[in-house]
Amino acid sequence: MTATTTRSADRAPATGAGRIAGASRPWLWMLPLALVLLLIFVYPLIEVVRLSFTDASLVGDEPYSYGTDTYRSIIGGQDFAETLQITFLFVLFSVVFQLLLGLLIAMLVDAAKRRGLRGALLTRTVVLTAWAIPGVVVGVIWVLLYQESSSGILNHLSGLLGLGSEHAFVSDPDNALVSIIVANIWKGTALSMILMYAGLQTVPRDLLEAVRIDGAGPLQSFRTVTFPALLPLITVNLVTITVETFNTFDMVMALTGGGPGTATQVLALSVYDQMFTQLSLGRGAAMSVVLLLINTVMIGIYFRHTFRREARA
Amino acid sequence: MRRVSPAGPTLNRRRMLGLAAAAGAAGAAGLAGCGRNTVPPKSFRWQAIPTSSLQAPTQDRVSYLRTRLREYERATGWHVIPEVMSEDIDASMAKLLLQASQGRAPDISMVDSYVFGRFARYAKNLGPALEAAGLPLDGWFPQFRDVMTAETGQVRALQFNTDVRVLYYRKDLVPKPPASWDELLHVGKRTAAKGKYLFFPASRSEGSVNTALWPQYWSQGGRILNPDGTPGFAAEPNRRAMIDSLAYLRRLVTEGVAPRRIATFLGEDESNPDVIAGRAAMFIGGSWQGADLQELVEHEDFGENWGAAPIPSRSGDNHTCVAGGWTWAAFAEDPELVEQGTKFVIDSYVDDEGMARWCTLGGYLPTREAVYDHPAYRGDAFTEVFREHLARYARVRPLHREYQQVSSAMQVALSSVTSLSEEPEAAVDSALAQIV
Repeated sequence: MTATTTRSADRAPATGAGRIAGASRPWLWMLPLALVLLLIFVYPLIEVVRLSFTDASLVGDEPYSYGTDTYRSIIGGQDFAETLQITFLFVLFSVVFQLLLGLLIAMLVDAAKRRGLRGALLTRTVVLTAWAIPGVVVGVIWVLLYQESSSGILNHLSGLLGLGSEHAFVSDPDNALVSIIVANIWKGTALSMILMYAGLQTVPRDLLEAVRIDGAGPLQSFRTVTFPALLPLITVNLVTITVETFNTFDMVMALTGGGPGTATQVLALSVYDQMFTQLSLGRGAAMSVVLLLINTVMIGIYFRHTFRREARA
Repeated sequence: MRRVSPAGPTLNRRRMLGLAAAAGAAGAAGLAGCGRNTVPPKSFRWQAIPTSSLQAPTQDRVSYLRTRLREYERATGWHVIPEVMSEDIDASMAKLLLQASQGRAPDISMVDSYVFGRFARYAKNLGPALEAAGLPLDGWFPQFRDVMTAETGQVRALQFNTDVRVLYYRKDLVPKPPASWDELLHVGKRTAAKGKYLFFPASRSEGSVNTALWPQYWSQGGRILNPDGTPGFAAEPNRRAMIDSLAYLRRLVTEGVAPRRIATFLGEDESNPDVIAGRAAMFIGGSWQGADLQELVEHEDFGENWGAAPIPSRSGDNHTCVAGGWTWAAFAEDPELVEQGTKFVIDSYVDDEGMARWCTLGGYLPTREAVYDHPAYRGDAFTEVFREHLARYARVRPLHREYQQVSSAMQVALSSVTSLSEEPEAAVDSALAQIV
């Protein structure tokens, strides 16, 4: 005991403020967090993977068997291939437009702030409100907007402009996918804008001034100064909104319920449908694992990119 | 020897771990207390959906339930602990099923009648309670007896309300309600030419298959599930009956009788705005909509101007419709809790007066013939039609566990067909391929 105390004292001499007991053993401080993570993350994850290899139902005491039939039926089924295709289209267009619009709005707000224009803060707050609204509420808002009679807000406005008031925003399968993408862009652009705006505050102003004095136009100064400075945040933003969009199901459920047919059946909604409507825990778990793998790949790409950048730096 | 840190007295590691362990144990005890142990003696947990609970949307219903709770507690000395399910019925039923299978379900709870088959094995025998209340099972309409017993040989649920689906029609535009598919197409085209359409839910929802698809299919002799739980339409002649049903619904859209946007209607109530706006000549809807629209339609007597008739069938006879509704089931292990919980719900919702008053307040249909003649029951302009439907046409959905998967697959098929994204035959094939 004495030896231990002496060794600790040698390594980390007590300061005037005193030495915290156990500081030499960081695992002690990490133990509670590790336990919590084990309990609420690792254990459920292992359970989901285990259940994905079963035909279990949500009912606790119904017998089930192990096997790979669930994965085989999912991967071999035409409906799952369609779901993946729809999900990737939904994510691709949502992410691209959320990034571009987020950047555009952030640059406008930043420019307004630098010029001392009024309303920059208000604009930021209003845009951020869309992000704070729960997905289900976003779905309901867009249900009202897309309503396919003259009572629908967009159809009414369209009618006023002489463009007809019977647009099939959600009953036409092709339009329905576009409609949920638009609703998701509306919701997700806010987060993207805030991240981009934060990034813009880190762009060195003197460097911008310097390239402008050297004769660079707005596009060239964006390409040579602003974009490289924003790149780390763009990467974070890209990963965040990609994962968030892959996991989106509440807004789609409220807006289209995955229909018409399976036109807007995204993967996360399929998981919900399997587990809570059809009570197929095994099949739902298998779909969750696929979703988890996709998200893991996205995060892996992010870490790879980050490590490479840091290594270069 | 007591160790003292350089900064003075403080917690040593052992003491700190001891405290953490104590806190953990206290937390675990607290979590455990969230279960059965926290329920005080002489009390039980009573769980209802929002519209049948103390969170009901109308003051009349809330007042009625408060009065019944007060009377029950005063008379028995027992305390009722109210719990309310979420509005998402699918998720609520899934959660309740999980709880029931793990012995954690509320002592008495509402269960959607069409999924009761999954719950029956966990529900307690309510036969003695029914007998004590003087309510013979024979008093219920026959189709509900099957739900209540769920092939267990015992009464395990008390169905206390129901609903049926009918064709509502505007009497000035449709003097004689169509009985067959051909008649509906003929009348529908005529009214559509005047800008008045047929509405019904035809999207991915249980309400859509109940209202639009199952009646068409049943009326041709089809059955949803075979006795072994496989889809009844996997083989001929039922496969053809299902394809024809979908083809007919598609034709209603392609021939302009019904607008294509019905493919987005999740439930029967979504026809209401079009009825109120005067865009509907007919709609296939639920029995509750008659009373709702009587309140919602302004400057018009809905009950006077609209009629209700059986949903048109292929041949013009063999009409069918889906009857839904809710049941009470007891999950408590303690027989005394079962007895007390059942007594409360029988008094409030199930016996003649309870059912008459609750169905009047909620706009529901009673599940026993005798209650329609009870002085406390007041129906609406269409009640006699609904009563006849219950006696002649109404059917319940299969109680097999496979029903939900089959229904879900056919919801997708219906939505695909009415949105014109898939042909009926391909939609049926896709549905069959989805069913594992």
